[in-house]
Amino acid sequence: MSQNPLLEVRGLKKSFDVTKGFLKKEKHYLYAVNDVSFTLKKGEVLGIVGESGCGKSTLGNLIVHLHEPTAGEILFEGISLLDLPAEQLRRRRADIQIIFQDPFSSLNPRKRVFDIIAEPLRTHLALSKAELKQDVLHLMELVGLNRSYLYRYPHEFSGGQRQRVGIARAIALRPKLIICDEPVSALDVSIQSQILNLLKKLQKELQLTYLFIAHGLPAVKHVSDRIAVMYLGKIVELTTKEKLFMNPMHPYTEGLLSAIPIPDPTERKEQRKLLEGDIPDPVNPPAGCKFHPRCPYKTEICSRIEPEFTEKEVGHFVACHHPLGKENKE
Amino acid sequence: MSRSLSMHGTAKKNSKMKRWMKLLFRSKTGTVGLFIVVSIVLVAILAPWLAPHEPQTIDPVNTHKPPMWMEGGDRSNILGTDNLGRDILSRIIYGSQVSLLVGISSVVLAGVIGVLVGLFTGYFGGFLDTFFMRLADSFLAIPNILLALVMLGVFGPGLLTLILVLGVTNWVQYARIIRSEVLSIKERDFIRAAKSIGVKHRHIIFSHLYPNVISSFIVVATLSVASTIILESSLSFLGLGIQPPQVSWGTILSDGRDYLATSWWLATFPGLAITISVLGIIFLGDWLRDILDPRTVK
Repeated sequence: MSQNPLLEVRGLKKSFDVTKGFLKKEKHYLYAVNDVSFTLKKGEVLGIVGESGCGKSTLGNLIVHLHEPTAGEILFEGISLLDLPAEQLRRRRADIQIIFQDPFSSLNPRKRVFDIIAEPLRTHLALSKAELKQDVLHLMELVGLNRSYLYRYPHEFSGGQRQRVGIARAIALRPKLIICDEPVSALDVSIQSQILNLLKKLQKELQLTYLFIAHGLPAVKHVSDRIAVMYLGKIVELTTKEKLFMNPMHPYTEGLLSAIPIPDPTERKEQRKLLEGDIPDPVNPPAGCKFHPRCPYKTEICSRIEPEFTEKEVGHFVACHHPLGKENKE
Repeated sequence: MSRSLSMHGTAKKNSKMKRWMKLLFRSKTGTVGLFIVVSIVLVAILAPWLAPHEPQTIDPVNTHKPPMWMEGGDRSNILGTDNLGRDILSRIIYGSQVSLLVGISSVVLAGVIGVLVGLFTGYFGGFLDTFFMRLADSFLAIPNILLALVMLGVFGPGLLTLILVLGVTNWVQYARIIRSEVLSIKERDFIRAAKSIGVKHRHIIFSHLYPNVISSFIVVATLSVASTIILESSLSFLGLGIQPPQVSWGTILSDGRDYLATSWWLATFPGLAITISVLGIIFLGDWLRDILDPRTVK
């Protein structure tokens, strides 16, 4: 527990200018990521869940530096990535890789599997032709791709196989951190568990650290150690998987949990607490607690003051004025 | 996607040339296009040996002679003669040299400029983008032919200046098409993947973007070979293009326009030559576009 975190994110913000028309004086900003802080230890898997549009993908893109943050710091192994000169940042990129959601747009349709997987190797290492081929074949084996697929084009593959190619590309340089940006949500249900198991296996074998982004809790539960729940650009609850599922403190988490379908009807004893309403317009977020218009437990203070993100129990961070205790459950 | 594809996927990496030839002869339009283009190029190269007469020899006795299969025609002038008694067939054979050279090289020149501008402005955006796109707008605001006229007037007529002028005035259409394609492709995840790997910008542009936009370029470029040949003929007609002893299809065509009512063959045969060669180039371009896309290659 005492080891230095691999990744530390402090007060990260990203806003997009959504002002329409160039004559308007008043600017409108969409805060996709609004003051997010967390740490990630080596070998850990942190799941990030939230509804569409809550900023979880933007968070992932910020960490791999596909977006420039508006404010905040990203420390990777204690070094601030944002302060690095361009060439050093380019070299550092080998340590942080990303797996994308849509395997149909993440592979260049004009390139063969070999060239796709070899690209990171060619970019950062000087390998001979034979070494390169051997490395690529080894990577294909690791992700469960038949070696005869080496010179095929992406369109010849199914979604699951394409995602395996994407995973091989991401692990090619043995990165320390991989951002999994909803890696299974575009796949058939039957394929999802295969890819999840593959990711889990690779994490163990290669001692990878994952930031695992998903929009539903079930997929995240399978792979994560800790889970962060995001709502409108903010983390509202962050704790271990067990605590989150047994004892959610934020009403939003509770809503997400009760939305998980229970297959066995006899176990559906509890009254479901389904969330009502939609995510508010992120350009004009509600005052106070961002969740209060949908919260069943809201009081007067919730609409005025935004709750602090604090550690309510050991290792259990929540941003809520009225965190749900154990007494509220059961 | 299709089952037959996965069956023979293990095929070894053929030499590229072999594969292309195989794909060429499998496509009928590709074969026809290649046949037409190769024969026209051969005609242009072998013109001195193929042409039955000198293209400039004037024969005042035999003016407006119809083609050989019509009344009044004979075998010595297969496609007839023009208003000065020059042999049309020989002029068309010699004209292919200039027309092909001007048509193809000015499109290539315009294409190289346009594709490079489109790739870089689309990818980097910002000031570079604004600058070149406003420049493109100002080019579009002036009719091409006027711009070419002014430039030819300044630099003086001649084959090389003609090619340069046509190339420089036509880059805009390619730049705009390529730029808009780049704008949509650069948002796709495989470009973001390359960025997150740390691939250099130059490599992203030429190895990821370029192969994905080149097919649109080929389609537009093959079509505009035709309009360039016509544009060359208009400029030559105005006296600023090809200078007389040289002949091009365009000059023959415009020479013959005045006699359309009486001697139709003067303008018809160079027109046919333009049509056929343009068709050939379009067929070849279509085939090229198809084989550059791995999804259509079976």
